[in-house]
Amino acid sequence: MPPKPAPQPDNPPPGAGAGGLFLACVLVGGALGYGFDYIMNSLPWGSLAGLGLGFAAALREIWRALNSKPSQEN
Amino acid sequence: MALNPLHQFKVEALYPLYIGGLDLTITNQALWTGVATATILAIFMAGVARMAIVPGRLQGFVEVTVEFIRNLTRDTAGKAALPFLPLVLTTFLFIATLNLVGMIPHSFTVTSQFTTTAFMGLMVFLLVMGVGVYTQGLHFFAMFLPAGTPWWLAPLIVPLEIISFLARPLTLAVRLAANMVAGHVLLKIFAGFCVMLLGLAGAESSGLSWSNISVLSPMAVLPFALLIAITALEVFVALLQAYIFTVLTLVYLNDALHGH
Repeated sequence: MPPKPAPQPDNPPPGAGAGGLFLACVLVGGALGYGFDYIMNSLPWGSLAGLGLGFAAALREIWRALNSKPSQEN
Repeated sequence: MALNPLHQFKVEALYPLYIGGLDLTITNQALWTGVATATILAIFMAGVARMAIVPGRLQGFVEVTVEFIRNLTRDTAGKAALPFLPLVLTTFLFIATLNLVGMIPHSFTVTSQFTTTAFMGLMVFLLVMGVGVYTQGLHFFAMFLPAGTPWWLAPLIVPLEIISFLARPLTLAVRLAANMVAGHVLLKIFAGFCVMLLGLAGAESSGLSWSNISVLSPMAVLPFALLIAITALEVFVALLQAYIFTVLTLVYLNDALHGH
């Protein structure tokens, strides 16, 4: 295996796309919201808020990924 | 001939095994996890069995692999992360071997199962939480409020940061499983093209015979050539995904050790 240049922290390595991150953020937000609803018996308001927050978090993560310095090729 | 590209991911019970009310049935997932673990152990124990000053091939391979991960650990997460080298090395070897073993025809790709990758993601999550709280105390949770946030934004930013933090292990798990599933589905589909063009896909066909051969049969060369190329790509992806999982583990570990 050829030695690869180590990526700096906060620089996602190549292949670590933003798609999974986006999905995961929305899912986690929705799950947290649903958990809140389950405890507080307030369906669907917590889930809606959670999904919105998850979407916002996903956009934030992608914004962060776009703003970080591009890692070296390969 | 089964042409369903998703059939290969079915977890099947091989040896039913119940001990004290616990369902310890050996599935193909458990079997191939064991095969991969045994492979790692065999290679590494054979590699260090006769420690020569001038290493042989196997010892050289083992040394290069360990050095590679050690340098990666030091460069990504700093010297403070070197005590975690055994864990990081095990993570890399485990994923890389599972991915590569999955490339063997008729084997089972354990890393395509979300249960396996989810537990690896959970392990990273618990590791980062534990190390973060151990080294930084409650100050670790200050990372949920980035420096320079206006006070009126804090109620919005903190939930977002918590969601991002919780999404990390899920992303790790989803990325690995999705990459392996996608690659193997692609392989199976192109292999299916070859089979279908040769006229072997029907239920009545029992083998390669002149009655099955059609004008289109020579075209099977095209998907076959692509299949070879994709196989090479998949071997690369197998190693790359193990590398990415390791690097991201180290990046998160770096956050936990040194603050954000």
